[in-house]
Amino acid sequence: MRTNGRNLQGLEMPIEYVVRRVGLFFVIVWAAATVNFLIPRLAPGNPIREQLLQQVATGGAGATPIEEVVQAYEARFGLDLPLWLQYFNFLWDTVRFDFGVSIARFPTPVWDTLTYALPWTISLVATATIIAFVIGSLFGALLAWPRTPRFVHAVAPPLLTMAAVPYYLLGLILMYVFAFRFGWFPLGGGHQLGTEPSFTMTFMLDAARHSVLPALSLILATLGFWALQMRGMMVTVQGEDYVTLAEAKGLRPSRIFFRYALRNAMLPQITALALTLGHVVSGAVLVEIVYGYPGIGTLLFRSVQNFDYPVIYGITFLIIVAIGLATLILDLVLPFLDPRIKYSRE
Amino acid sequence: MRDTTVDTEQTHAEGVLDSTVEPSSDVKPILEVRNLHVSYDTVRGPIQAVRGLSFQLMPNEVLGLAGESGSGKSTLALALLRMIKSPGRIVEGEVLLDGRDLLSLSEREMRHVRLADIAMVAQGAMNSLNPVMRIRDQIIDAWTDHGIRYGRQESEERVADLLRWVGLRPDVARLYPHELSGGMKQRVVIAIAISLRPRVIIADEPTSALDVVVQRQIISTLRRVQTDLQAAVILIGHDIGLMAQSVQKLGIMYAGKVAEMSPVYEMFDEPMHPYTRMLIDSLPSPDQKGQLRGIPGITPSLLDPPPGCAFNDRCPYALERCTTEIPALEEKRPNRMVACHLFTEGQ
Ligand SMILES: Nc1ncnc2c1ncn2[C@@H]1O[C@H](COP(=O)(O)OP(=O)(O)O)[C@@H](O)[C@H]1O
Ligand SMILES: [Mg+2]
Repeated sequence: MRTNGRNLQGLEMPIEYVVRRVGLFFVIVWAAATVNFLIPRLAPGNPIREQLLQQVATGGAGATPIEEVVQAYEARFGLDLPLWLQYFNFLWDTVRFDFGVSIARFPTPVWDTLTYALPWTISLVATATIIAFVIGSLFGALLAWPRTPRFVHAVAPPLLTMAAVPYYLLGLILMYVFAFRFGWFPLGGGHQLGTEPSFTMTFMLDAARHSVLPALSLILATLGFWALQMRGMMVTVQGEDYVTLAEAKGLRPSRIFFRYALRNAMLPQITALALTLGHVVSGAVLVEIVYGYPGIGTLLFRSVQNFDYPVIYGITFLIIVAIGLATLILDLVLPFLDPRIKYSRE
Repeated sequence: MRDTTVDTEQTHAEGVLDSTVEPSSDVKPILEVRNLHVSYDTVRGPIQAVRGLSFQLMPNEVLGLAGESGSGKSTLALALLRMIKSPGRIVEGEVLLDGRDLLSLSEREMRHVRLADIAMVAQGAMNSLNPVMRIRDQIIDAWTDHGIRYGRQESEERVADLLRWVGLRPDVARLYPHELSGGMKQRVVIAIAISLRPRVIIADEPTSALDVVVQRQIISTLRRVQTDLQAAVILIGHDIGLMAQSVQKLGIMYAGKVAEMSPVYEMFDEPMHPYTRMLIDSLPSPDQKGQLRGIPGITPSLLDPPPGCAFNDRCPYALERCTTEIPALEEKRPNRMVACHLFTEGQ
């Protein structure tokens, strides 16, 4: 029985919508690539030579033979070619994930430095984000729920205080207490020195042990954010007439909590989560540096220090793609969570 | 938005002012409220929103409660379901449903009274339904939590019957609230309210967010299901004109108390309490179109209510006694409950 399918069935997602939305994603990626192409060329003079000279001046390049790098870059970018041809070459390279070679670690391709750091960051920051999101949101929801037992409220002030402490500071404190004082966890790094990353059980366990403290710093520091935001939403939602009616229907408190209050209060949280996850690839710079963690954050920091522009551009591009991807997924998932969302373009 | 309303109202709309239930001695009230006090604790002290309110509701009776905004109507409605939220609390009193005191039930027992015995049609028609759940699921979850489980086929059929009962097409079941008009949503709310055949339905301004035509349709739908169910209804509103056409007995609330409660005809024929008289006089009548006479003065503070009659400072007939002694709600004439010192009992 399908009378007037799309009007009656709120969840039917039109194909045009999906196509349009995926198309938008590629437009974003293309725009990001173009910006990456233009920025170095907007600077007067030869950007490569200038960067390298800057590096020599600050002594950052050290032993790397400058002329060799310059020549490699001239060839790589074909800087003698007309601009439009350079642009198409650049786009073609981007499609093949070819972002050139790192200056600081010449001649390692940028892509290799990114793909080495990315799994570290994703496993640390994404896991920490999701854990903080789940615990924080639930906790915030409980804080706003009148039937919540007293002791839950007692945990609130310390947790919310922790949200006000910058997480690198929290990282330092945790490191001092649990790594330095008690020696329960390693002082830093992503894995035992001398071991090579592999998918063996011993390595994974070792990596997990190294990520406990950085993850804990991130979780503790961001928990309060999710909790506060969720508490605010829950307070609002509980004032809604449908929650009053749910109670008047004699529903079980747990159903009112989950299906009526939490379910609606969660919608803005999901949007915030998607954006935060999009930012995960930029790493948690400060925590990674404090713990010497081999993720994107550390890579970005080192690249900025060394004027390693190709790597910086690579990371920038990666972040834009990740955020584009996160919003794409969000836009495809949200209509299933909130039937009020319209597919039309208005 | 297409209106999927089935037009069954015209036939029912007229029979609104039918028989008045004569309270005879052998009929016991289905709901009785005795000396109910509800306060909201604030930093400035308790706001006494309901102050010693008493009334009786007979089976199958339609009782209107009217009063200006802030007179405690919604507080009373929520208190009857024991749904007063902090900072509010029921200070004292009794709410007897068929002789059983609801205020002494456990929270768990009270949950089962809601909807199964006393159902509510809430104030905000626009927002009373969960935006992320289909209508069908919002009807069925109440059954589940009251321990009633039907097979898939049967619950579909029951939902369809229910929707037809309130004048909606059965395929509304598959829609989300935002796909319905305000009137349709309020019909769904009525459908939910009657789904377990309650004995009392409390409708708190069920038409406040709707336009005039839809308001009448909703009121007549409510009256129709009331007749079908033989349930007692408390209809709350501030438009005594609309109320007068919809109820048998009307209670006029003022500052958390009932000022007068009388059969509608008699009240409009001969209002007794001065407040009632001024309210009825302030209604625009056909010969003086649009002439709305307000009532001079303001409602008293519920933080610090006056010691005597709450209306005494606005009352042109106030006696010395009115400033010191709270008038009790008494049957001053047969069937007419009035809280006013101007009348002596049985006079
Ligand atoms: N949550 C609350 N906190 C404090 N005061 C309240 C609250 N709800 C209602 N009140 C007060 O109680 C009184 C009665 O309100 P209400 O029952 O909503 O009146 P009505 O429904 O007749 O307009 C008003 O003075 C109002 O300010
Ligand atoms: Mg009200």
